[in-house]
Amino acid sequence: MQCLLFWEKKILQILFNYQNNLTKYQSQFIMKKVLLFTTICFATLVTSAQDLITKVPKDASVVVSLKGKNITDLYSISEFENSKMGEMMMKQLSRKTDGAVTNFETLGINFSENFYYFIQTEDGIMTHSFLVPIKDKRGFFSLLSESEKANAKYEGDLAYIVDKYDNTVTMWNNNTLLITTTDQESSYDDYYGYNDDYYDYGVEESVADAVESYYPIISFYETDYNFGSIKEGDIVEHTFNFTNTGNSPLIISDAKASCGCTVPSFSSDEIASGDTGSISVKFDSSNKTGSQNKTITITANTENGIERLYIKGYISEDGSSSEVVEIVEDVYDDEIEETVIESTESNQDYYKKREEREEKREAERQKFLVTRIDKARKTINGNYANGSILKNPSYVKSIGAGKDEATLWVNDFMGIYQDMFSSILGGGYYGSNPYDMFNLDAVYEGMTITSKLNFEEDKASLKAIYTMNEEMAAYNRQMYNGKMNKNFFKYFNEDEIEGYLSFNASTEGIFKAYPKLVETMFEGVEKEHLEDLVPIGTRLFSLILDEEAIARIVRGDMLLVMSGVETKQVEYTTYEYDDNYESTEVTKTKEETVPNFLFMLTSEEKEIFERLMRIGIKEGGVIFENGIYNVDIPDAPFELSMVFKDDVLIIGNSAKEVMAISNGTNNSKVSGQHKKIISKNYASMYINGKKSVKDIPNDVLPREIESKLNYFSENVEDAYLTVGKMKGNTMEAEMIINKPEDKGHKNSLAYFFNMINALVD
Amino acid sequence: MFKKYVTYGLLFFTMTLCTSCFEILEEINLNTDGSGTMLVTFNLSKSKTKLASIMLLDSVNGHKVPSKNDISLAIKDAEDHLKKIQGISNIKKTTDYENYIFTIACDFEKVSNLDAVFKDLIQQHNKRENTKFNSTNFTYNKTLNTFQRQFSYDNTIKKSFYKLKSDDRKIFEDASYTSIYRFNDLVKNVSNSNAKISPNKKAVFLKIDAMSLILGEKNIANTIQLSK
Repeated sequence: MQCLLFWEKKILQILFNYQNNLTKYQSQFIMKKVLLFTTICFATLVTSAQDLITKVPKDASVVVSLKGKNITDLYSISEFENSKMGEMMMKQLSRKTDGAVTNFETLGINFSENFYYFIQTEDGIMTHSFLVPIKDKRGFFSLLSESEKANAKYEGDLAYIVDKYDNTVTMWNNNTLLITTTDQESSYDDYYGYNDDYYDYGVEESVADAVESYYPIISFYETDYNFGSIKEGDIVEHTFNFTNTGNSPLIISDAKASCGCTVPSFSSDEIASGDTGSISVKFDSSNKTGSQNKTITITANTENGIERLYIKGYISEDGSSSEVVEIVEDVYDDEIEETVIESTESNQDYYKKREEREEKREAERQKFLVTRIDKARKTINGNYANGSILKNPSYVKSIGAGKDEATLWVNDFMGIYQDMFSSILGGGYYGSNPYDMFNLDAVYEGMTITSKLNFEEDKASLKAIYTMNEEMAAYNRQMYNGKMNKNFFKYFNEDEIEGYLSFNASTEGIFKAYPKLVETMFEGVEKEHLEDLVPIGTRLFSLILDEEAIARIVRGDMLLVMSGVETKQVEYTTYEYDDNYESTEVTKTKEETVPNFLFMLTSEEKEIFERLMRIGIKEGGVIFENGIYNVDIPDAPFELSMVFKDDVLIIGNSAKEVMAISNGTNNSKVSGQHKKIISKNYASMYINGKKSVKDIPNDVLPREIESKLNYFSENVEDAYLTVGKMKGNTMEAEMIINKPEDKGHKNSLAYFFNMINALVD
Repeated sequence: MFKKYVTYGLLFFTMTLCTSCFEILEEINLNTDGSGTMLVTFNLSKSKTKLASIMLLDSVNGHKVPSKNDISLAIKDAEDHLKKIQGISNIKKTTDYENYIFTIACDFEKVSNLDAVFKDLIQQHNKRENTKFNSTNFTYNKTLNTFQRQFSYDNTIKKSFYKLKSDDRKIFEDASYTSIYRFNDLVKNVSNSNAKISPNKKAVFLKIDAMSLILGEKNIANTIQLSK
């Protein structure tokens, strides 16, 4: 059990980190490169250019598409230009291009065609590409800076520029603009070991460019450091010194290491241009063995936004090892270089060596770039040996020619998973790649995710469809196909609630499937550590817990209802003063608006519940009155009332409400629509927007938003989120936001923009 | 998992709905010889529903929520600090986590003993933050028979206040600060126009809402002239 819980926790942690890191690294470059991309989804012109989908390769692992025409039909580009968001974007674009861009028309983008973004994973390198339909390349060209214009290369119809910092290739012809870049995280750092060379190069280049750049430049005296041999358990520290060689003040906002064992510390004070600073890095070698490489990622206001430092060392039990010799030699070499630097001959030598190194780096970069540009040419011409994504049956089947405004399709979930994880989290827990230990193939093999965004007349919906392999589907069917108790509907009134959250799992199914699932995950990995441990753990789990007995206590279907607000009298202590200002403590009451909730779950063991309550009464803390149990929970801001009715255990924080249910005097009203949502899905969430906003007392909100609240409560409708039961090998999740009637919103997309307009300053 | 989401959801809701406010009470009983007792009360009972919700969370609005242990430790720290000051004795503290009322009381031999409590702390703060808070808070002049509560407003208060998010500022809207000073001698007059003298002329009462204090509109400084 312990072990299982531990792993479950670990997995959650990994997923959490993954999300965090993904957002951080991915969004940084996506934001930069795709401001354009997001800006341009709204326009009117219609031309008959070829759909760019033919330029997406068959083996793409992620494809995102934005249907230009569908979107602009709903909300025209001129409407967008006149919205606050459009105005803000235009202002920024105009400033960036020194006034060359005055409206969306001048961008030369063909907004009525489809836009695509795709990821290709090859040999561990992830390539991100954006395809933008254009109708006038001069419009796009005017967005470029003078130096970019000067550096553009031409090949007949084709033209391209290469960003020398991140090697992004921007290529265009008469109807297509392609922006393509590789994921630096996985390609350089972990797969090819280019890291030192590449990043050094970046730093030195930027020094040369400092004159024309407004960004601060963090120039380290060294970007990697070798601790040599470290005795296991020792904590070693190194300080990296740097100078801000840029023209503006440098601010370091964060420094993070690839492993919890490495702790960087830095000052967040501003470092003026020309000033020096330092970042010290502490490495704790406890529980580490062998050679260790760690990356420290620094977030600062430099042009790249991110800088990196590298430390390494060799951990041995006694502080010595065969590998040490080599490392010591390395260090020694450096020292010699440093100490004899004054001698002219050696000095020249030193610089010569450095030049040679730089040349080598530049040659490698050029070689790398040639293949990149070649690849971009292939993409823009749609020239693939295996054909385009339209030859991929999985893609065609799941996306098809739907009327959705935007779609996302993720294939080969497995490949992306592994690439992302190993690169982002680096070495850690268990060997160099912590995910080696999971048999992820078994879990994610054959898994695809399709997501569709749809703006309809009366609602906006976002759908996600997971398709999984047979093995996973079998587990999931077992776990998620429970029955919802119809009795739940007797106990609440849908007109009075703010929302609900339902779960419809099968406890019995979970207890049966979970141990098998865990066993599958760890199958065939790192025998000596896990083979014994995991199956014993999982078998114990099944042994200790008799699944059928537990399922009788909690069947797995449950419903939480936010059942309205209630004004309650709350006592508080304050002071009263007599004529002579002698104070006395007095108890007063005030009214407080308290949210009520009802939690219902199916259980067949009324006997067990009542036995527990009897113990509670005996021990104190539980009071039985008027047919319900009132439980005082220490430290909780509310008291709980409970009643067991039929096969439902009802727990609520309003004694009044629970008592009414117990006596059968409560008003219940649940429409067929809500009944269907709750019982037909594995999980569902409903938010009654109007009621929720209305229930918040005015005086608890900050004054600034009070004025906006009115518009909000007038214009907000309700929203649903459902996760369907397994159907065959697929599971479908859907989010629906309804547009309010008679408020003058043309359609659901226009509704979103109108809301933003009203709420943004 | 389910339990965690539900708990967090409910707590969030409770917190949004409930108001928060607190009162600080500073009471000094001064004897003719300059000795006396002091009692400081932090009363947060009016927001106990909200506090109980907050206490179950790890952090709110990006601030770490102190645990009961943290709070007890902070009070213990204050107690230890008091113990080190000469002339301070009979230190008593109470903690009530049900109603969220915390008090600390002590006897002092001279008013200057009380000053010593804060002197170091204020001087350190002034140096660190470049503020100009006076390091003397209380003075008792035996010859003139005056008792003085000093306080100089510093603009950094306003600045730090406006740095807070509007959600956080809300906390101060209903908060108040009350001081009560009791004497054996009769009070002749007081310098602070917001202060009130009791009918028996032996106590001075001053209650100021936190917002006025933060924005510098009202001041707690007061010079009390006692009859000789």
